Amino acid sequence: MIPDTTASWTPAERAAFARRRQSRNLAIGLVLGALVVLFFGISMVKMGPGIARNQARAAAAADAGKPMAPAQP
Amino acid sequence: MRQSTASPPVTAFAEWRDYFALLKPRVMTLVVFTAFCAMIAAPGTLHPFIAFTGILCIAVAAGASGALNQWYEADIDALMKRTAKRPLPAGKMAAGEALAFGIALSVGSVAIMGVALNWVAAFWLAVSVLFYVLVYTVWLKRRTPQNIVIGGAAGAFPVICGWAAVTGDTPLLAWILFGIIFLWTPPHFWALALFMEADYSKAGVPMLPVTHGLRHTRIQILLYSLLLVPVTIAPAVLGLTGWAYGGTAVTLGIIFIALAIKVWRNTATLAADMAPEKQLFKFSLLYLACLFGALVADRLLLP
Repeated sequence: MIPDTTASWTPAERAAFARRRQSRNLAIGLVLGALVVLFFGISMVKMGPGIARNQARAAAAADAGKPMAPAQP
Repeated sequence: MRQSTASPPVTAFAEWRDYFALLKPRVMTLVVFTAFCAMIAAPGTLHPFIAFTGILCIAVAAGASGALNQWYEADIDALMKRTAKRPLPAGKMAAGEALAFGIALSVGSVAIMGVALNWVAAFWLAVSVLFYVLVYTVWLKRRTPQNIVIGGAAGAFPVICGWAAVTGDTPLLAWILFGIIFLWTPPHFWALALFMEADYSKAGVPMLPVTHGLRHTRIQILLYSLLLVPVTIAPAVLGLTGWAYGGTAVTLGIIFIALAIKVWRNTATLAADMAPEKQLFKFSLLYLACLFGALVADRLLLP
């Protein structure tokens, strides 16, 4: 919440406010970065084995000169 | 909704530290520890990154419950010395920000738990947040001196979440672990409440020492301790754990009851004379840590 009384602030209050805002923005940035890493990691663990299996099947089909069979559920 | 009107303009823009304080990090430590132990004790394996995600979700959900609790209780927090410096009563944050923060973290942690682990664990995680916020904080805390007993159930749910995260179900041993934390909470917090009685009295929270007196509270501490110890031994008796856990539970249980008897026999009315209560409070923390540590050791070290 940004108060509507900013005009009455002293330079020291402005500096303190800017410092707080900067530290909070930095924290939000770090949290967002951590969420990116988290979602990437979850995706890799959950889908990685399936992707690797499909790639191996595609490579095997290419070697045999046949079109790739549809993936089994 | 509670709105801090006395806050000076500079402090109206909360810092990250204020948001962190809303999560009650010290309470979170216990929750993370017990949930982590339950995850290790549960049969089955998880990918380490997924296990980390599960622990993170449980920790964040516990923190979110703490934030929503502080949002609702800002008025009484302002009256107690122990809680007056929290971000809301200290005027460092607007009430609406704390509410939004708590809701966002609750929904986010439950959703990620469901997607990354399983929806049984997510269900119990949602139940733990709703129970702590609605049943404990909003409904019962200000209405009954048994509030701590209800709060104990809220604090025990993370064990169920941790177990369900691994197995996708909640068998008997998981519910016994739930029962251990549930029954451990009253003697732990009432021991604290005895030597902090003046603080709770000032805030008008109906804690047992305030409503029923010190004698009655000491009797209740002993009764709950006598109920707690058999439940801690039950997993070993039922063959759900090994002798390492069973031996630890019996040894620690004897000490716990001995300390509870010392509290029961104490007649002090001044906090300064309540050495047995302080001793029981400190030991109860060590007790729970050792008990769950023994459970993990039992699972990891013994065949």
